[in-house]
Amino acid sequence: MNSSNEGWASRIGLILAVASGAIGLGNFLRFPGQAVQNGGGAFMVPYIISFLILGIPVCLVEWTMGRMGGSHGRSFPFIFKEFLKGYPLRISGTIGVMIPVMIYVYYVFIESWCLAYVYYFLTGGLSLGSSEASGTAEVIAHSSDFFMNLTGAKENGSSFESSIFIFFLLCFFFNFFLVYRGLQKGLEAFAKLAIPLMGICSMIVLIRVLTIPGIESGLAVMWNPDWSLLAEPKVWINAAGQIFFSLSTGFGIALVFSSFLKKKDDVVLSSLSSASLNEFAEVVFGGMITIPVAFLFLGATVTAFGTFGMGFIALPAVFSMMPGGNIFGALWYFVLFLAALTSSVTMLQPGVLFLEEGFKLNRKKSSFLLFIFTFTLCLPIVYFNKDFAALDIADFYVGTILIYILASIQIFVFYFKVGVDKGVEYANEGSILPFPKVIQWILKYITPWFLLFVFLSFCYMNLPEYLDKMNPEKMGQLALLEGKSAHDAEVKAYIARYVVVGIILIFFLLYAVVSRAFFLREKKESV
Amino acid sequence: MTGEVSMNWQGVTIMISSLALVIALSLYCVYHLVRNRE
Repeated sequence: MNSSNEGWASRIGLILAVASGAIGLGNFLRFPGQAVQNGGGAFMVPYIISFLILGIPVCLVEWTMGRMGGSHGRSFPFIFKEFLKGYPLRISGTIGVMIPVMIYVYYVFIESWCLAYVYYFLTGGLSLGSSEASGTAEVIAHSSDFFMNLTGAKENGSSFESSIFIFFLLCFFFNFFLVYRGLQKGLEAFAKLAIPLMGICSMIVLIRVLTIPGIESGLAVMWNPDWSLLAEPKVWINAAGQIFFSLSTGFGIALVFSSFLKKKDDVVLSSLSSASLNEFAEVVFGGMITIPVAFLFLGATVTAFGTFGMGFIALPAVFSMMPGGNIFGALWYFVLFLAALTSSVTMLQPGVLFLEEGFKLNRKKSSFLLFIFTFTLCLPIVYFNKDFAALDIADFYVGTILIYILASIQIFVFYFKVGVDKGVEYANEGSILPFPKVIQWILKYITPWFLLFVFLSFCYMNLPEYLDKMNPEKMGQLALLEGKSAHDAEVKAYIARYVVVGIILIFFLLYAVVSRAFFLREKKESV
Repeated sequence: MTGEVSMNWQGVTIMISSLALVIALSLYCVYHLVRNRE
């Protein structure tokens, strides 16, 4: 059996598969963190505007382009044959195959942290102490210690000796088990089960959180607006970035999944439905649980935690202080685990589809090849995890910069090669709802340029810092100034360098593979 | 526990409007999906 001939069992299945790919840790951890650091309730103004001018248009474009290119194939490089040729096609095709596979490589490791927390909450192995007995600061210190030891973030290589390696293997095998089962029996069937389960578990945790006495002070920190921050450009850039990453636009996953659709099938309502499901999870569960409960127990320090700190240091500390915290902690990390698992399974599909289509492999062989490839790449990420060095660099260059590049390629190809009016006309064929006129106008005059502006601003704000992270001399000097080990900082900088070199080498390797797949297709067509 | 901050009317308005917006959008999609079942 070959997934590229299989398709989806139902429209709902496709919508849930795309939505399950989009709903991830970013909805539950990154969104509330961004909101509280960027004006609280005031953040919702640029957030909703970005949803309208970036989120919805890019989603609609991806689904429309996927259906358009479906006559050429089911994987990114072949779908894009509809729009490009020559080097631009091979480069875009390579990025389209590379992004989801490479993100999977580090995302599955983070997924295993969630599974580990479910296990430790359920078995009572996470005893961080109570705030009455030892004070909040000590509970947080214990939580931080537990997290750093568990994930091997204290010393390179220690993750291989920690229990996290077993959870990592479990997650890795389960992902490939679902991939091996195919689109309908694997991803689609699992998404149909996982999304309602996520909703039920989140609702239970939400009800528990909202019934804690004094929760309104936590809600105040999350939702009371600080309008003065709207004058800062970075707040608008962060809101646009949050929408962009939350909806998983630019991954090329919706494009690949919608390539199975026929001309008579809907794309407008389907793309809007998967986007709205993602927003529902983000605002209702992400906005109402994480920050309110964390503030209630930890106080104002809660704004200082980053995404990982919030998810794996602050919240475990909170659940350990809460009555019945073991049960609610296990439920919460089960939600995060499901969100991460459904996302990681969708990330593997474009790679498997490409191998099946480009090299006429069956699912068994394509899954096995991808397993070997991703597992080999995972090992250095897991090994060099001191201060999350390798993971952080991979996430920045693949999970951020390359996604912006691919999204820009898609939107500009749609803009210049397809044409907005022609594309909208095509999207309307077979669609249940018409392509909204206002979104058409926004797509024509605002979205491409806004996306480019956000991308360039993001690079301006973050690229210098990440380039410095690859400079051993500079990082060593900086560490000395901060009273830290210069040697450790230099090692970290060398790891960053090797990760970037690795990403570049993988790009060229995949470029050769994509070119070979095109060659084989052309040879077959000429016979 | 910490409990010094209280929600102001602007925070309440933004919270309720944001929740209402995403719930309304989801219900709108569900309504059309159900109406146009395959």
